[in-house]
Amino acid sequence: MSSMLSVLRRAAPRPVKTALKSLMLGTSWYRGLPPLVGRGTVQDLYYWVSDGVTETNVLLNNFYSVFFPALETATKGSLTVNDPRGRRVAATTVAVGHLECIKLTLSQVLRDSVGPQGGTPQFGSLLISLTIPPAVLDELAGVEGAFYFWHRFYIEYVTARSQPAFVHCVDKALILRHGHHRPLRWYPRPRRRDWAPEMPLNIEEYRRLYVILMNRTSRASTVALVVEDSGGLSREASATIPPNGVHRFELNRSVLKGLSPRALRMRVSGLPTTWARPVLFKEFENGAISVMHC
Amino acid sequence: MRVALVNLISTPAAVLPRLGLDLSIGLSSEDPVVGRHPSEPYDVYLSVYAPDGAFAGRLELGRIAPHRRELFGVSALVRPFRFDDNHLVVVQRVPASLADRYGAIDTPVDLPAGTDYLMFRAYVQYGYTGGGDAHGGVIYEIPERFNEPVPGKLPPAVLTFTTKIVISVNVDTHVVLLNCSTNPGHRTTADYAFAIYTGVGVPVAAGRCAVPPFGLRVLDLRDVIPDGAVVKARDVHDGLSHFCLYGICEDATVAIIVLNLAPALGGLSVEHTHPTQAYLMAETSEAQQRIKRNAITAWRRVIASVAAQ
Repeated sequence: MSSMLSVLRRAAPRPVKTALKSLMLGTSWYRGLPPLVGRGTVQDLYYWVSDGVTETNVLLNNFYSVFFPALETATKGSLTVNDPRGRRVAATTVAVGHLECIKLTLSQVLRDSVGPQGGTPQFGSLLISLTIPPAVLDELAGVEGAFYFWHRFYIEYVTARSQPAFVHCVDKALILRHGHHRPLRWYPRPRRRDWAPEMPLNIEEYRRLYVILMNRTSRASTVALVVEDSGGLSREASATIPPNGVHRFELNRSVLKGLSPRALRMRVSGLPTTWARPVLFKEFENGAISVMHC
Repeated sequence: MRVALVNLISTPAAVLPRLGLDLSIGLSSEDPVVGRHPSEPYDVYLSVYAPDGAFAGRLELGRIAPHRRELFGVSALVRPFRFDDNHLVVVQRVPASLADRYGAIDTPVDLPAGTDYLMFRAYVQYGYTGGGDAHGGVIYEIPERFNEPVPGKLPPAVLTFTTKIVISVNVDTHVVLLNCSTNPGHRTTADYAFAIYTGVGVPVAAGRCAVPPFGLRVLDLRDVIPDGAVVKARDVHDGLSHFCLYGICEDATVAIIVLNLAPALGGLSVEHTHPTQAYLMAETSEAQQRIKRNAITAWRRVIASVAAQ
């Protein structure tokens, strides 16, 4: 149904297009959810790592200031940190002033929440939320219909030698409706989509490549990664990811031994949500990193 | 949908010899979303523009076989043009079935309603010229009509913000502004204005930059941000100074790529910025556009004020 609506919307004349967009945003049958009414925010799930080699910084940017630079947009931001199984292990709340960007370092957040003892996870997922400032809510009073802010943060990963790399959000996980405390899932159930990353893969270029997948739904979901060479030889691995959980498929020369290493392609099946395409976390022999979605 | 096939699936990219970088572009002959289009051959073209934006020629890069990925060494491919300065290229893919059916790729044709090549993107990769085994890449595309005037609509405009501005002893950040279009008659110079803020919301710099049509400009943030501000913003734990960039352009949509270069560490990172309207989920595009346009107007004043300080 959603793809049919999307196709109709693209092909339709402008008034019909607007009506269909409204329908897609506001109806329950479109996504199996209560309608998005009133005001609120939509959050994505991000990957974090803090393993003594690579650190993660959340740059909590008050994006409301960008859209309303003349208003007082000071607000409250929160960060929730989950382990790879999707279990909450830390949380913090910070004040974020107008045009401020607060840097939260994961190792510090974990130390503050969990303490310096062992047993803390080294990677997982995180959620970020910025409350809509009162002045912005007032400003939106004149806007007809539902209005939501999609939180689209960039996450920074930093090596021990302080080389940074950034990646952005790709999908949606939770809906926070203004005036309600209980978040809703954007995707109540896994959708089991496939994805064929466009990036050519030459595994000889990497010390290690993580193909990272997350589950933004409320039910466990099984995903599979296939890596195939130009001769049709392949390797496959699968994993079941709990809600809010993370799985890292590690690729290296050893894992892909027997395949032609320079002309590989990847394919992911069972993506729990529509746009949950993988994060590729690239580690090179010289210790450098880079990160991207594919 | 009426579109020239050469614009159906395209990605602009910056060739950056001045930054000591080599550009490669990776392409696929498969539908990334899986299920809309069976894999088929794709013809690949590379439109090359001179540093001043003049069209220099189009290279035919051949055909990608079904179920394949190909990485094209673009910096090497454009070397015969002998451009020493940074310049624009646009990589284009045409499905062989459509090329066979319609023939000409530059003449607009009517494609069936619902023809959907959404999310067909190119992998844009940079590495250091002549050394280092690390690289950084990002994947993106432009729509089949980009920076084209639409009757009855306001001209394209852009509001940018990014937190990816990082400077340290070893790290430089460059913001690449691309002014391209799917309309070969595009003649608009993009006047891009920006301000830089610290993490505590204090403005430290502002500037303007004119990006010629089918051209690009590179902002070297170390040149833009005062040394004192970099020192003051430095995190004692990792040595990194973070800033935010806020920018506007009221003449054209400027595609923006952020490069975090750390040649001494052998690494680099590449990311694009989200269009700001993607943050705003409104029932009507009018509400979304009104907020964006109002913000651009407000930022025009703010940036002028910062520049005057």
